Amino acid sequence: MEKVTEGSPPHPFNSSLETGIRALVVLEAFHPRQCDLIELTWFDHLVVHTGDIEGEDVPGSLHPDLPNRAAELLVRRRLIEDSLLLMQRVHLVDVVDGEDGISFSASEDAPSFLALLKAPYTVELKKRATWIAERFASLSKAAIRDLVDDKIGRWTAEFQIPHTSMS
Amino acid sequence: MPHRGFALRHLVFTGPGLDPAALSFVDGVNVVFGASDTGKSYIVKAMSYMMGARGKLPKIDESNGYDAAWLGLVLPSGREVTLHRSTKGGGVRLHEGVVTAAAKNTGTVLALAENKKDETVSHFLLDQIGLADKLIVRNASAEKEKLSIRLLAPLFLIEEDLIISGRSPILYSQQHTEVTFEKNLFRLLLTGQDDSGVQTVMSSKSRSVATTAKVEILDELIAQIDEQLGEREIDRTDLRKRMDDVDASLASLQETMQRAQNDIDDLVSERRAKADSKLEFNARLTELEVTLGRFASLDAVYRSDIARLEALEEGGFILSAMSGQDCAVCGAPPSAQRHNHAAEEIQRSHAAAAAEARKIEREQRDLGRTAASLTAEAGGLRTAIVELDRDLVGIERRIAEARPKEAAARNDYEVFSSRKSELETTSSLLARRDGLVVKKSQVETKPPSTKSEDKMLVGVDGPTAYAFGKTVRDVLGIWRFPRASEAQFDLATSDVTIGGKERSASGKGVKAILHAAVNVALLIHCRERNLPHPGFIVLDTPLLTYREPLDSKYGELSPDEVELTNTGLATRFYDHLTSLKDLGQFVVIENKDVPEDVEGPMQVETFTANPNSGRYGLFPLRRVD
Repeated sequence: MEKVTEGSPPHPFNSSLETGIRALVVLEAFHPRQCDLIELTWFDHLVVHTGDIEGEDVPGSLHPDLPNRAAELLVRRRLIEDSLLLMQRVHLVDVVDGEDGISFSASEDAPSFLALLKAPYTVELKKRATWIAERFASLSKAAIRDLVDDKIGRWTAEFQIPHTSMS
Repeated sequence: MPHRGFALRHLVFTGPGLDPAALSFVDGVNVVFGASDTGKSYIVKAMSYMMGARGKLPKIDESNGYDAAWLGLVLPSGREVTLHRSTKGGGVRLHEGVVTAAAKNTGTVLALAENKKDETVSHFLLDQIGLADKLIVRNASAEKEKLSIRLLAPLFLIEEDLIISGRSPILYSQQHTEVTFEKNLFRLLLTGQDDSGVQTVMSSKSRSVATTAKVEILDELIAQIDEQLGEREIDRTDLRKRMDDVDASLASLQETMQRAQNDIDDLVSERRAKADSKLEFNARLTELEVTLGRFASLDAVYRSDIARLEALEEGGFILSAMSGQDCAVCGAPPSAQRHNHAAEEIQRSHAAAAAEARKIEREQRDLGRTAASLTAEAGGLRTAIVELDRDLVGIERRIAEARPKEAAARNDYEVFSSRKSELETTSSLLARRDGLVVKKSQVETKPPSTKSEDKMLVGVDGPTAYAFGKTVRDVLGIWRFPRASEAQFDLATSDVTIGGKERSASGKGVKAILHAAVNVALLIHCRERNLPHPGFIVLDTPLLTYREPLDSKYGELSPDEVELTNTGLATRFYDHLTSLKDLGQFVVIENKDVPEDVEGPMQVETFTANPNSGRYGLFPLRRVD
């Protein structure tokens, strides 16, 4: 496995730990549905940027809207892969090798662990994960892909030119 | 360069087979003293003749056979020359050096009258002393005559009949028609100014033709102006008053207009200043709002980050705790577990999250303070902008009020201005008409000759006459002439008065000495002012008053002559002339010998009229066959 250089800790944001917990929250919300890496990459983005999804009763984005966040989606894939590996090592995520490739699901220990997380941020995160799961669980993988492609395409056009204002 | 004069060297008469009759002269004083009929007066006349001032020599028996005369001179340049002339008249020849003989047809010919070929004697001599080509006005028409040696001679070659004459030494010709010329010549000598600048007046015949033409033109011009002025009679006093009124109105309107304009200018510049401020404030406000908006976003990020870090801390803590236990899958203790590095990573992230949270909280507090101060500033700006808007509205209203005032004043000004220019046109037309009328009357009135003489300055002016009179007074004072201090030069008679008594009213001897004083004073005056003068004076019988009454043709002495005789004037006279040797040369021709107490040095030539003693006369005594 990759060696982590001692004395220079990774930035806490989007570290394997943060990303791993977020992935776990999503997988737990989708349980028993399994998610593959691509889906997890999409949901990891959407769960903190729910405001990007159109519709009624959409919860507000958990992270402030910042320009160029579409780019996050593209660099996130590798990060999520690492974080899933970390979660698997602590037995919170199960890897399922199936006919249509590798899928992930929350382990049996996951609910009791997640129940211990009471921080407001995590609580909000869990609410949004649940909302997303409700919204997407019934959709086929192809339908989700279309919807996300549509969003990513739109985001690309929207965020290519950096915004001068963050508001 | 100082003006210098001539010095006489000799006067010689020669004739074939005859002893030369010669007189020599030295610098300073030369006295020729002799009895009557020894040719003394002939000397002065001969000198005039030699210098071309006189056409003929008087006939005297003693001169028979002498066919040539020689006058030796030193020119101002130091060059010695001899003028040579036949005693029968004719031209003069100039020879170099002081000579008494010359080869036939040698020397430079000097003409008596102007001709193309030769220079005249007069021009040659006057040129030496800086008086050549001087023009002198001779009459009321300002006709001019060129100065000649003939005209100048009576002021330095003074013959006996002139010296005792009652006429002024200046007005020597005793001709009324020459008075103007002689006065102007005197001015030339006293001031150095000739009349070359004076305009000669047109003759009366050509004047009358020109006059008619001029009058016609002037009439036409006057008629044109009358047409422009219109038929209505113009009251000049009223015109003047109206112009003054218009001027006053214009001045006051000018002031009003200026004040109105200044008011508007002030308001406009105030408006500009306010608008500039407003623009500036708005720009700053926009900037502040943008910044505050960014700060709000940043604050949201901070808040979100802190929440995320809390969550991470919690999750990390629980995971660390969990990963520190026996493996849930295989039951192996932590030391035996292969996935120990996962726990390390989680712990590091956990620690980092805690540190990061503290950092962000600090940043968030700083941001809050800055945002508060910017918000206050923005509030101030909004208030200021509201005030500016209110001011601008006020200024706008005042400008709107001021404009009509200024426009009205300008309008009035233009009305008065055009009225003024009308009045000025009328006034200048009147002035031109007046000028033309005056000109016409001047042209029509033939100037009377006496009047134009008044206008032209004839002779010397008062100050110059006074200065000359003082010199005369000084000379007489040195000679100890009785009441010399009362001597004056009278402009009206151009002669000397003593205590108001005219020279012409004196005895002959007194007239002679006063005449001599004028001639000597003229030399002194010219030399003191560095003005041209021939540089020598020949005086025939200035001391007539010392005559022996019984021997003299002039007879008994008058009381004033007696008074004069009793003074030591003769001695003073000679001593004074001797003292003037640096100023000029003197030749005194006298009946009486030089007084014994005269100190000299002077050269005295004595004509004895005695065949047996000394020199008989100018010419040697010859036996008449």
